[in-house]
Amino acid sequence: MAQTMEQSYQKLARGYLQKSLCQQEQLTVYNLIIEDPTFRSILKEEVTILQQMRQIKPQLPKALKQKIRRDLAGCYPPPVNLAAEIFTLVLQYTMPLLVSPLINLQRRVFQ
Amino acid sequence: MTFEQIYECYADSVYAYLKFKLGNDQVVEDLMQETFLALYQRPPDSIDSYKAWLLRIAHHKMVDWLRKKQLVSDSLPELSSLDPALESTADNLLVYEALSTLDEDTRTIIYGLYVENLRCKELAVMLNLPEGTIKSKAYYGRQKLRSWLGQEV
Repeated sequence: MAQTMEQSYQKLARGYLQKSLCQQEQLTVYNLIIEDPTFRSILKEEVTILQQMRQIKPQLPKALKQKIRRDLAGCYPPPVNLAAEIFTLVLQYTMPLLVSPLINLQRRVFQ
Repeated sequence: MTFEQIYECYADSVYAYLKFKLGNDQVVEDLMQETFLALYQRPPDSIDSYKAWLLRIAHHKMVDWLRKKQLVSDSLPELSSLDPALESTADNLLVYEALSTLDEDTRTIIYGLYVENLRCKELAVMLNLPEGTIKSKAYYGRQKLRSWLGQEV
């Protein structure tokens, strides 16, 4: 089989396993699985390589994950909600000014 | 996504990549912190894949560190330094031996494709190589892995 053909079969098989194919490519893969034994054998190889490679993936220990998270939290300030901060500030300064007009309004409405 | 959510989702992948490349826990920890700090300090404007972005930053941090230390990472760390549990299976040793026959770029490409589900385009940006080079190295690496793993595949 020509190298380009094999490469494109490998790309399709890997994309299929990575779930990164578009609908048209998925259809092509379904057809190839049914019709082409060469593609089936490449797909099987991809599955085996994938399984074997994933077995050697180093695992991040939970304690280390938490430690790094804590260290990172010490490096940056907590997030600030700018809108809430400004709104609170505005309310703090304008509330006292609003009280008297509101009382007057209430008197006029209920008299 | 918040910074916390990104960390929760991708810390494992960043750690695994650096550990796979370097083996040394202390250095891996430092480089992980630098990688996530870079995300906090200079978050990307638009992003398709946080994982690819973080792994690219981690890779560059690692290269900088190796340059500063004037080390060359052309060999894999000891398998036992990755995870003590890995030593016990013969399959893992076989895969590790197979990987050690590949050059560093090809090994990284095979790792990125099969372990982290990265695409050739993302690996090209990460390793600063043309996409065509990534594709041909991926093909060559896979052929070598297949022949090395022999009856297993």
